[in-house]
This record gives sequence, C-alpha cells and structure tokens, in this order.
Amino acid sequence: MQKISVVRIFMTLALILNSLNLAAKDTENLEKEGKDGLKAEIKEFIDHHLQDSHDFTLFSDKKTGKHYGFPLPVLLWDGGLKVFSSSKFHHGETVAEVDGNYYKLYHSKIYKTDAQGTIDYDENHHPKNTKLLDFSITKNVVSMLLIGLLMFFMFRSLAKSYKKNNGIPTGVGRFLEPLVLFVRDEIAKPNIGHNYKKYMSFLLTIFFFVWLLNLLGMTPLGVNVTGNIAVTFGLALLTFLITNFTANKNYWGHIFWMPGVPTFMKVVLAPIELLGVFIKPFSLMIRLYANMTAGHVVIMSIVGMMFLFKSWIGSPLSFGLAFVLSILEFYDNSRNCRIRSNSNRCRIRYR
Amino acid sequence: MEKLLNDFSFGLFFWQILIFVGLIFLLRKFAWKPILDSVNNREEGIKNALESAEAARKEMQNLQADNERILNEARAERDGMLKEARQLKENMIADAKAEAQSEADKIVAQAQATIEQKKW
Repeated sequence: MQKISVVRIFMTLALILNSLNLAAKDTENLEKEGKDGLKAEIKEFIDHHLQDSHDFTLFSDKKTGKHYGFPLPVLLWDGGLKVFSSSKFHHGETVAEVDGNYYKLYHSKIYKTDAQGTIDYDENHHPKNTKLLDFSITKNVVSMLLIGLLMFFMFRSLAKSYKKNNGIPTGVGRFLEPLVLFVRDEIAKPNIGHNYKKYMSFLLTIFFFVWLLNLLGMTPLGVNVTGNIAVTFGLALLTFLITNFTANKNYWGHIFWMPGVPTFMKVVLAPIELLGVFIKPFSLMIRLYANMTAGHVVIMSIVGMMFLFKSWIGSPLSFGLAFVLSILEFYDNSRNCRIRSNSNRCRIRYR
Repeated sequence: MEKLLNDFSFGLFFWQILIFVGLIFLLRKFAWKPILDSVNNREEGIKNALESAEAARKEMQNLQADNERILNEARAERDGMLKEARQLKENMIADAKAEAQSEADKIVAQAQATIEQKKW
C-alpha cells in the first residue's frame, strides 16, 4: 500500500506538470471559459491515455507545444514493409513522408493521405482514407516487452537461487516463491486436479503477465495495456485454444451429454453448454478490458477534478478520493488476475 | 461495439500473441520448470524426512518394547531359578534331616542293642 501512495504522488506530479500552463491561462481568462476548456482538456487527456500510442510521451507542455518522451519505431505494410521513426509524425501534428507515400496519424491510427495530409470523412465522421496494416512497436508493445523482460529476469533469478542455496530461495525469490505456490495450490490444483502440471507454464505466465501489466498501468508512465481490447482478445483466444485442444472426453462429455441430469435436460443443456465454450473466454476478454478501462477513467477523472476545484477543500478531497480509489483498484487488479486465471481453468476441472 | 471493433489493432494483437507465446516457452524452459522442480524436490525431501523420522520413532518404540519384554523375561527366569534353588535347598535340607534322623535312630538302636547284650 505504501508503494501505491508513492505511485499516486508521482502520477499527480506528472499531471501537475502537464497542466501547469493551464492553471496560468485559467486565471487570465474568464473563469467560466477556462473551466470549460480545462474540462475538455482533461477529457482529451483521458481519452488519449486510454489509447495505444506510437510514441512514449511522459508529459507534454501545451504552451510551448513540446512533448517529453521518446519516439518508437513504426512498421507499416503498404505494398512492402515501411520502417521509420514515429518522430516523423510529430505527435500527429505533421504528415510523414516515406518513399514518396504520405501517412498521417489520426486518433492513434495511421492513414494514407496526400502530401497535405487531408483526411476525408464519411457521414459518420469516420475517415475514408486507407487504413494500413500497422505492425508498429507501439507504447503497449514496448510495455509488454518490458514486462516480459522483467518477468524473465525475476523468475530466472528465483530458479537460479534454488541451486545456490540448497533448495531454499534467497533475496527477492522469497517474495516470488509464495506467489508461484499460490498459483499452483489455490488456482491450478483445486480447479484442474491431478493433471495440473501440464497447464502450469500457461497459468503462471498469464497470471504474472496480467498482474504486472495491471500494476504498471497504475504508475504515472500512463500505460494501459490490459485495458486494450486487442490484448485481452489475444489472451482469451489462447485460453480458448488451449482449453479446447487439450480437453479430454470428460470435458466434452460435460458439454454434449451432461452426466447426472435427466435425458430431457441433457438435450436442453447441450446447446447452452456449447455456446458457453465461446461465451466464457469472450466474457473474460470483455471483463478485463472493461475493468481496466473503467478503473483508469475513474482515477484519472478524480485526479483531474483537483485542477477543476482549485480550492483548499476540493483538491485534498479529490486527492484523498483518488488515493482511496487507487488502493481499491490495486486490490481489484490483484483480484482480477486471480479470478481471471481461476475462471480460465474452471473449464478443465472435469478432467 | 463499433467503437470496440474500430479500436481493435491487428498489429498490437499480433505482437501480443508473439510476445506472450514466446514468454510462455522461454519461461517454461528457464523459470517455471526449474522452480517447480526445485519446490517439488524440496517438498518431497521434507515429506521423506518426516516419514523417516516417524519410522525411526516407531522403530525406537519397538526396540524399547523389545527391551522391556526381554527384561521381563529375564526377571521371570531369574525368579524361577531362585524359586527352584530355594526348593532344591529345602528339599536337600529335608532329605539330609531325614537321613540324619534315620542314621541317628539306627545308631541309637544299635547302641541300645549293644547295651542289652552287655547286661547279660
């Protein structure tokens, strides 16, 4: 919990830095106008935060138009692989020219445009320009790679420490081992039974992957990986494939011919259970995505409120609220990954 | 729903699957397998140690019971031997007494007979 409060303070600092100029502008302009502008800006900031991004921006100074962070590589498929740095987009402000083609960032998506960067809209205000197959190393990809590396070094060190210390972990391993054992004893064994060993690699990887990414989302780095539908879809798809391709006849028996119920009910249950095969991973996908998105929106809105109520009572109040909510979300995150891994595996308990 | 589909980025999905599957295989080889094996070995070791301690305790108990039994047997044997010896002693004394008595009687009788002869 102590860690989170530090995290919150950093996040607040980042937001304060981001909005320093807003505060200055606010006092000069009419109070009402400034507040509306600030509200719109906070909304835009949150929207932007929820989306993936082609560069890693830590904070931006609106007054000078400067962004602090670093660009990331863009990989586009446009009749051949095009590789260039995202600094060419200047955070979506300019058109990038690569091999005679022009590209523009619009709402974190890359479109092919003409030299002026015109974007044509259809009646629903969606761009009509060609959307390209985008394999860029985005902020989320970088975060996943970082977490992957972190996991590798963390658990590699735990694995090594056993050999050095005669079967007893040392250092950070003393913290990590109970977590690994928790996954084995509280998730795998009760839900899968004696056959759990086959699934341990997947279970441990998904547990720590989701957990660490959720925690990373609470730092002021402003990454929102598990709140991205493409990421949760990937996780759900893998879970779906693994459960159904490793399933034994007991599992299929429980789906098509539920034992222990009258024959009539068996016929009724079969289509429901068959649908459940798809619904369960799908609901997990939506659940993680929605939880993370909602959590981030709420916390960032309350942090944003500090800048709206610039009074001695409003700011501490929203700070306290944001602090309590972060703790709640921290708890929720940990619970989420547990439930997530739990329900993933509940499907195999019949074996 | 439409916003969801619009937000879906195939590139991100591609990298996510690649990173995640790679991570599963990499960690399985370098982390999960050695960790779970070590933990398993340790747990086996603890279980074996406990079991052998229990076995040793049982054996100790058996040994003690054996000792007790042997001691009891020895005691009983000793008691028997003592009893027998006492019996033997009593018998011997009684026998000796009886023999002495009969011998004494015989001597007395002889002496009397001699006296009777001398009177004449």
